[in-house]
Amino acid sequence: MDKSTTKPTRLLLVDDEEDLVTYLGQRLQKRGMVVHGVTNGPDAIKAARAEVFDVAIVDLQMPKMNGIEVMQQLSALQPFLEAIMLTGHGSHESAWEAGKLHAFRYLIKPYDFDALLQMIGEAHAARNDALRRTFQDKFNELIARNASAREIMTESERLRREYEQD
Amino acid sequence: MNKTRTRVAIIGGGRGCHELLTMVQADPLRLGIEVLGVADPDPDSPGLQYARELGVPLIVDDYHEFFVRSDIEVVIELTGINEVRDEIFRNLPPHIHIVDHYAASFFWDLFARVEENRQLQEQSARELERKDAQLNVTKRTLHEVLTNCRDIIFLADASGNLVTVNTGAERALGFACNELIGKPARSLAAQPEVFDELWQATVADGHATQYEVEFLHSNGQHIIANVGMSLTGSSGDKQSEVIGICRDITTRLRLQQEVFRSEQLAAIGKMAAGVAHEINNPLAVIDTISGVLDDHLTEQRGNLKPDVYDTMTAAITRLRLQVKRAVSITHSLLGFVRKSQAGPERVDLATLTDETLNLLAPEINKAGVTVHCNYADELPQPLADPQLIQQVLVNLMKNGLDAIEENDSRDGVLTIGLAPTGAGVTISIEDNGVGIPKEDHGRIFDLFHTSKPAGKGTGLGLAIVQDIAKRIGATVRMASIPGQWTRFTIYLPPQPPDGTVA
Repeated sequence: MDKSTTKPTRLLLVDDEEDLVTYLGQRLQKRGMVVHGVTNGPDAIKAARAEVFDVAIVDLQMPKMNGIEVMQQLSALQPFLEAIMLTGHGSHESAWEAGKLHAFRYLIKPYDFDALLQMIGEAHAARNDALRRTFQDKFNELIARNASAREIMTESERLRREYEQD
Repeated sequence: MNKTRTRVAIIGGGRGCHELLTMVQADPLRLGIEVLGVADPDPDSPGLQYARELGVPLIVDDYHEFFVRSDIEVVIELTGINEVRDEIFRNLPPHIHIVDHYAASFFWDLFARVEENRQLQEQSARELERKDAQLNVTKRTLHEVLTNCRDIIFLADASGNLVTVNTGAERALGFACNELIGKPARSLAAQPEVFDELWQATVADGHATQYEVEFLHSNGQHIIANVGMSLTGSSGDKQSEVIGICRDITTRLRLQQEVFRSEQLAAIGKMAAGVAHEINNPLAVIDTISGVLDDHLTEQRGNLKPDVYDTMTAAITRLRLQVKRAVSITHSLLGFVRKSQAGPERVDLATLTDETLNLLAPEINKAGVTVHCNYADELPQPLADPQLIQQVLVNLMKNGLDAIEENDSRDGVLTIGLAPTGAGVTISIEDNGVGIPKEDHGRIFDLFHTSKPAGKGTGLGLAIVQDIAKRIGATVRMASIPGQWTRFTIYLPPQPPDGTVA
């Protein structure tokens, strides 16, 4: 409703297919997103240490580090980061069976671009919801503790920084 | 032989007397001897005792009593004592003759020899009888083997006409014995010239074999048999009869072909899936790049001449369409080896069929096709994997829609039926589309066989249907009249039979 529609989505794009990263990045940038593209897991982790992302698009099958692993490490760094997995047909079924994909949104390659856009929008909105809920919970805790107005002011400012990471 | 019996008295009741009495009793030589008396001073001598048992009338201790009797014709002296014999000789009345112990032993040996011969003869007669019985058993066994043998066995004369056929031939070919006898053996074969060649080789070499010869069944179908022929006489003998033994291998061949086909399918499927998987990545890139071009084109619309813009837009649209087509092919190839996520469960087929129709609703509406559903009220719920069944339904319904689209001479109708069959269910999917040409009926389930226009069919749909049916133990049948309709019926058993992986 609010920030997700006005603030550009900060996107981390991870795929070992360089052309895909380049051109999908171009298309997404044209639609107002801020895209950081990398072609392997370690580079993705490096990027997540340096900047904050709203959504990560991660290829499931990559040589150095597979998508699931990448996503687990990214989540450890940025708990509110939402992921979209790109999988090959068939491989998503084995991943699903192994219970690895349940936690993520996923699209089967070759994906439909409009479906991808829609999914990015949903992922971003989900992230904002989760952030807002957590912020509200902590804020309510402060009120419940009967904190002073001054304390509430400074604490809420701290929380805002912590959760929005701006 | 049966003249008046010689009346005899025996002197000496020893073992010799006992044996003579035994022999006279049995009388194998039919001597016609009647023993009137036995004499011995020892009342306990074995001969005397036996004579008493037999009821010989004159049992005495002194043989002189015999001499006064007029009915005794011969006395046989068996004492073995020369003095006794001499004494008898001296006192014997003229009407009685004597056989002394010496003469008796001579005859004795003679009789023994005759008896031995007789026994030998008897034995060999018994032997002969036994052999005869054995021969009969062998003959009967041989006959049983020949008649009950599943192979086709025939005997043909030198001119090639059937003399005898076994019941195996009746069974395998569907003709009665008497329909076959007298006919040329070559008329059994679907291609008589193949038989002729075999025949010539048999006459020349004494025997010949040929694999996979087609025979004609009375019902018009062909059966395939391995044939061996041999000459009853020596090779080159043109007057000799020919024996033929033919083994029906139709079923075995069919099974072999099925195994071959499923192995082929598995191998192709595996390879195709691997290739499809690899191709999906470049396809994704191509699709993305064509999207980038489209983006640029839209941006630059104002700076481009309208015809340039239109040409390029059309080109990009075609490009993306072709990518979609490639994707649909790779996806169906991957569907081939796709493992199911869900296991078998009780399937409510009416609900599943409705869901599937919903899934295809956009295509059904676009094609303007009317769907009729004839579901039986009470349907068993077979144990199967619903995803696999849905895949079968989707593929068959899509085929029906395509067939309707190709036949624009009338309004399209798709009729779906669900009916209980035993504990299982029969699903039928019928369309009033173009139908399937007769010559294609045997190939519709073949991998990559398609009758659809270029770009429409992948030749995978029905192969996948067949593949799934095999996995869940279902049977799929097709009936069609070209230009009129096509109907697929799937029989789903109550549960997958052992050995199938649902």
